[in-house]
Amino acid sequence: MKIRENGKTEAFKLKNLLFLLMGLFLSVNLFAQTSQVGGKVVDETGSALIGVTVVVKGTTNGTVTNIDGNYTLAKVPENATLVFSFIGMTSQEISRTGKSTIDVTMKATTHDIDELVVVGYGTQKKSLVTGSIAKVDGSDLQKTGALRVNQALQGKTAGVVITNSSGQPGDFVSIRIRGVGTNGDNEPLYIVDGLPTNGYGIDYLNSTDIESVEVLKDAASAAIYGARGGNGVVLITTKKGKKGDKFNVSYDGYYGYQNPWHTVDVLNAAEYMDAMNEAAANSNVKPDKLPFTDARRDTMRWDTDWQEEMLNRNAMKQNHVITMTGGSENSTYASSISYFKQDGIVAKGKSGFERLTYRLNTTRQFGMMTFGSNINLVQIDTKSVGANDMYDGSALSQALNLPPVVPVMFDNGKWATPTDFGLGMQEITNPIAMLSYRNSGTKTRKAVANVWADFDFGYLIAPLSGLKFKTSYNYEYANTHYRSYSPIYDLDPTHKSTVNGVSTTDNHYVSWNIDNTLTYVKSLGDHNFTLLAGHSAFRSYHESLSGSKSDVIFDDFEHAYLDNATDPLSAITGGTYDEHTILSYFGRIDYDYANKYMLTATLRRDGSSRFGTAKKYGYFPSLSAGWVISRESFFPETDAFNFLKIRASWGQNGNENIGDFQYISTMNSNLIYYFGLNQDQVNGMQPAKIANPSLKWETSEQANVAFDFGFFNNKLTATVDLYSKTTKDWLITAPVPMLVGNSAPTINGGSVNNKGLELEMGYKARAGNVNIDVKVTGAFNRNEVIDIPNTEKVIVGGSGGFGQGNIVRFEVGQPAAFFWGYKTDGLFQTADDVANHTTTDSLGRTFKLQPNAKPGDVRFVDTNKDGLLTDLDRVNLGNAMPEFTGGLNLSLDWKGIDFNMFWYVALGQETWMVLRRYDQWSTNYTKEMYDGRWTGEGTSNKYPRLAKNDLNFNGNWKTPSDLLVYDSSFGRLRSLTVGYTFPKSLTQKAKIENLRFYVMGENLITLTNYPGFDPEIGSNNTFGAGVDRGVYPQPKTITFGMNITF
Amino acid sequence: MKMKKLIIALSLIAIFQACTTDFIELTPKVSKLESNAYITENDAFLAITAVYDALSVQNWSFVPIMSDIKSDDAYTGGDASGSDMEYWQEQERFNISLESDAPKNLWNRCYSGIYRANLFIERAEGIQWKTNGLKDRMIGEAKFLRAYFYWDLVRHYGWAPIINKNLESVDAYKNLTQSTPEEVYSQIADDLLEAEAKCPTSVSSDELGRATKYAAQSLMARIYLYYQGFAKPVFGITNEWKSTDGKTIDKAYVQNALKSFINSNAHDLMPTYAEVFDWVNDHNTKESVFTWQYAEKSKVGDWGNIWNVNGNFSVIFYGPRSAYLASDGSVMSEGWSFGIPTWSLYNEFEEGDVRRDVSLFDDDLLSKYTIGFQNTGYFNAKFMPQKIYESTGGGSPQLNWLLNYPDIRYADVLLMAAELFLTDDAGFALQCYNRVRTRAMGELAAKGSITLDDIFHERRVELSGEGHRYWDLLRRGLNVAEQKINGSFQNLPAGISNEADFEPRNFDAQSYGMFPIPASEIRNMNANTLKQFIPAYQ
Repeated sequence: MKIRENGKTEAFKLKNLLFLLMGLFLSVNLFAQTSQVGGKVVDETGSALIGVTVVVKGTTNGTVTNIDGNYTLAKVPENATLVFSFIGMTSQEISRTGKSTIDVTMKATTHDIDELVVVGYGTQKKSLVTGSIAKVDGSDLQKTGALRVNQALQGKTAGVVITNSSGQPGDFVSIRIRGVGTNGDNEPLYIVDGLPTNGYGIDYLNSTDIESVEVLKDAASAAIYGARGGNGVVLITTKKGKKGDKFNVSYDGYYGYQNPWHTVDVLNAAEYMDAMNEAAANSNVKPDKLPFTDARRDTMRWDTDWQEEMLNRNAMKQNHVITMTGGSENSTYASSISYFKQDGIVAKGKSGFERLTYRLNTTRQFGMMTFGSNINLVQIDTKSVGANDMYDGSALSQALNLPPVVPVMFDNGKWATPTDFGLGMQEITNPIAMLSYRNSGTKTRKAVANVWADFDFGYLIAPLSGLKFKTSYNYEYANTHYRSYSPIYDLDPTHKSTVNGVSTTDNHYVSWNIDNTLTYVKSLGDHNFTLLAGHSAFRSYHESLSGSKSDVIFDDFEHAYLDNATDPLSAITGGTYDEHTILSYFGRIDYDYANKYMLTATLRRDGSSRFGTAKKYGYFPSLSAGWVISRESFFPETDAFNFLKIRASWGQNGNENIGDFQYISTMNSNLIYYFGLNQDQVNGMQPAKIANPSLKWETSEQANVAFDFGFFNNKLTATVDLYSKTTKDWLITAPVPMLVGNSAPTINGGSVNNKGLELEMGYKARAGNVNIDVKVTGAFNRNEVIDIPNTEKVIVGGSGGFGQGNIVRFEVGQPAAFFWGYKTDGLFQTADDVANHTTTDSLGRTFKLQPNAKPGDVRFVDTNKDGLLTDLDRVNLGNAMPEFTGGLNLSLDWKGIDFNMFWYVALGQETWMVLRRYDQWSTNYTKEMYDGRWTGEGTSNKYPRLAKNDLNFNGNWKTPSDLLVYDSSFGRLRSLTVGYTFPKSLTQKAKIENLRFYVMGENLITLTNYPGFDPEIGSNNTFGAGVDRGVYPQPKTITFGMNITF
Repeated sequence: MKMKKLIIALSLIAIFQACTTDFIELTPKVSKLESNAYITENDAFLAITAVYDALSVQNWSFVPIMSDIKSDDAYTGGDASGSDMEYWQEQERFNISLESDAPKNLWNRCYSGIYRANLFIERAEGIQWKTNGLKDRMIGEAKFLRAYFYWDLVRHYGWAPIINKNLESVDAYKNLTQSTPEEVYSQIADDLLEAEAKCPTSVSSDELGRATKYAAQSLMARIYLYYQGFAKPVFGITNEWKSTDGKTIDKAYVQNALKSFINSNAHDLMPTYAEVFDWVNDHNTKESVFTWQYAEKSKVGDWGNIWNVNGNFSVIFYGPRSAYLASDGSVMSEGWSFGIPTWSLYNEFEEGDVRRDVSLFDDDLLSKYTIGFQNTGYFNAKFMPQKIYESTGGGSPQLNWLLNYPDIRYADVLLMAAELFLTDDAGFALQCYNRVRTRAMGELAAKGSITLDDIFHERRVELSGEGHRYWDLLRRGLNVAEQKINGSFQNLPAGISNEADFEPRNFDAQSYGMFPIPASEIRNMNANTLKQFIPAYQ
């Protein structure tokens, strides 16, 4: 009964549907006069264009032009409008008005000089911008879509130096805008849809969600962000839907494989044994006591390639994004869900990054009010290994140092270590075994939300036209949860644990800010004004909780929770809390006369919780002006040279990136001592450091002059920027004499100047059927320290290889953070060379400089000629910041085939390379070092003789010298993409709007003379940049991807 | 429209809240402020604890092990590469760089301690004291500890700024200049006299480790002997040791102090020498006059900040590397083979002296181990790591050894008394001497008469590896020190395979066996304030 009834219902429904469809069909035929339209589409040179999409506006009725450029389209209403579109060409809409033949000449898209640029708290026409703002379109980022957001910016904007800390998935990416300005935090401020965040915080962004990225490079542009704009500002805007757009669904995805772009040649077992014997013999070890006797050599079974063992070849990388956008008359929406996963190319299973994101951006207009929200939910799981470390936890460093004569595992399944072979090397041991003991992971959960409302008073009454009020509330919540398990193991005497344990750390970060701005746009004749007044409040706090405990009842990571740990005495707990608030007021006046003369002035007042009562507030002004010369009547009107603008700006920003409560004296209660037979622990107290109540902002002052050119009707554009930026009143922990007895206060002092030249050129044209789009950027930066607030005008810090301290130095008159070491002058070839290595001082006294050296040892230079080799002889050996950075982006497309190539070049930087643990005699050598070594008079003047120990204390390797400093200039084919978009005539049959397949390669070519793993070595610490201890290299990646839009 | 009103209302509330200056006036939630940290007696206790903490700081530059390395009792040792802890090797070779870490670390520790002691003394005035005499006692302790820091300064650097009151600004410190060694000794006298007067004669069992009157008197005797033997001849000082207000600490003063101390029977020797170094007793026994306290309880695991370690970090330095016991094949606690006893020390022990085997661990007891630099086959048994005491409660075991350091043992006091009374009361001197000697060697080994050389021999074997030998050598004269120290690198046993590890070294009399002022400290002071007065470092 029931079944029958259902069947009846279905049949009835089907009948109704058919009837409805017939009705629709009839109505089309009955109520609209349609007929066929045809024609030919050509380009400006008159040659036929193949594959031009022709659509009846507002319908899905469309076609594409054939090989001769011809098209025919049936059933076109008499009053319809046809839309002609083609990649690289400006779309055209032509009304049919009864015609049956419509021929079209398409024009190549010209560089749109009047696109909108996002500035702080607003947008501005590009031609009216007076500051220095670099814009990167989301579509440009997606051409290198396999890269992370901050990586993808590399080379796209002149003057922005982006360095990967390492090739480990998810590792820190440092950004320096116009050089190093301070010895403290140099990272720019990121503002994502209005929410200020730090550099670590933008990894949650899925790059296909990004509409545009604007980099505010000069102080005048960044001044509207006052206290935090000192290192420049990166504004990120995410995609919104468009009003009236139809519903669009697209899928973007790729899958690929990553491999190291090269490995470092090290000695094989036979060479290694030769080297060890040679080193021992050079250190007076008698022939019968050499480490590898003939008998031992003959029975040596192993020849392990430790790098191969550590590497994870063909590591997977994949990304999948589904995006939905659309809009109605009053509302828009854009929503995406994405999944990204990248395995590391080192340490299989222990290094990787996995991210899931969901985003929903909506707007809705209610009369005068537009209301919107952007909501982003993210989950990130990371696993990591030491990426550039010479002690425990490192990955490749251990692989480089391990003797090839040690196997990974013995035949009986027991891990092998150097100690088993009498080659004990302290912290260095079998890294594969160590990785098997390391079990940890970090989970990040994040919600970033933004709600805003925009009130247009002009909607209410006409006289208020141009007056708008916007209020926006931004909120970010992040939780990172770290958990680890360490088992009981006994690898060798320095790597063992008699207990197992779990450890977990939970961090909660909350930040919110509220912005209220009032904008008034008014034109009086040719006088155009935009006035902005605003208020902003920001608060962030962070709370952490950590615990660890031993004796776990399960022996695995899966059960590594504190409740399973049983030893009450081993429990360690910790918890912290910190918070930070900023209260700000700001205003801006933009004025232009006839779009020819522009003037902008801003002022911001910031109050920060990080400063004492008297110094809480800081004022940050800026002034900028521009003149579009090409709009003057005297400027000749030619297409060849059609645009010229001069801009100049000056401004001040701040930096308050220091810890909290540096101005007030807080107590350190960690001064522990024990009393009594039971050794009761007492936590003694003293002030944590010397307080400085007069602490204030670090100020960055910058002047910028720039020229914008447009040639050939803006086919060719160029921008030249010249700047001088001085950062002063650094927030620094200046060295104080130790006899003060407590830690140094944070003080203001010191300054550094960065001067530079930036060039950006773009060329967009069409030749035959080929669209060409070229963008070239280049930037030179010169950096000089002007002042340091201590008697010596010097700050030292950083460390190189084992025992090498203070290798980085700030010194007045020198570039910031240069490598500080001895100069070498080759090697001593003979005993006479040693005897003759003397200095004669002004009094005629002659000193032997290295009397204990032996032939084959390094000759150090007594640069100050005082007869002694001391720190006074150490000089500037270069620094880690490139002198020139540039990018070349070339895009071509031809008949649906697209090609994109992106090169990045960084020149003039140095790296302090300490791949070998020279303090351990039995570590392996690189082939380069071995082949270049001294073995007798005249054999080499580069690398010293091998030695088991440095008995004559010449410090060949340990002495911080230019022997360890290498030029790490490089050029890299960052990405190369070849894609094919299927003709719409084919895909539309399957209701597919767009279908593209592509192959992309990352880092396919690296040009460098640098002998280490990778010339790209960054650090978020100014004193740690450019030191290579066996860095985790950038992967070379091949990915296969597709984009499909319905 | 309701929603609009709601949004406007919410924004207005937010603006109103955020606009007040209170919004940017925050106070720390996880630390006390200095302004309310010194009020109660317990606050005072925490403040004096901070001064003790400075005393125990080792930070890669533990004075006892560095002193032994410089003496004829120990070689640096370390990893086989020979480039391990180079700034210790520099000391062994008397070729100390002006940038060396060891002088920096020690200078830093001493002035941190002085700062904390000064801070305590100043803040004591504001404390709401309730217990009778507590203020005096704690002031006495602070002065004792401050004297100790100045003593470390004067014996290592000679010329050092005296800071008895914390200054208002960092700039004021930058103008300080050095006092002469004689002035620093006077400062020490001031502090020790006050400590002697204010510290209690004994402490309860839950206060062990805190300074007593007897600790102050013993330190006074140690410094007196050094002043007589080293400071006077080397710096050409003619005055007796006296306080700034002219109170003289002469031989009679020190003799009286020690005699009354010894006669008080407040302390005594342990029955056997082995018990003294048994970890069970941990140097908190009747023989312990002043012991630096270490424990594993704070579970430190941060290798980046050795300054904050509260265990006895030096322990890990003394043991052999990767060693297995011959007796049962079990693995020993990992050590780093530093502070290797010399053959010269081994030979100093007489036949039948039980102290040799308690003091020196012989590698015959091992089935295998990794041979380090300057290996002699002996290790410092008094402080080397012991497996059963390895910390298991979290943190790094290497950083959390619980063993205390016996700075002033009663045996040392007795031998100092023997030395002080040698010519004035030979009977008392002999009595003191024999108490120490017969405990180790039996009644039959008692001597009927003794010479100064006998006392120095006894000091060497009784106190070996505890960080005293070097200073004993220096106070017998730079020439004696030179001969003995250089001698330990000569006449090596025949047939050893690592002769190359023992290239001769030369005591540098021009350095007085002392440290340079750290070059970085001179850099951070105003120009022409600190100077290198020691000829070798000028």
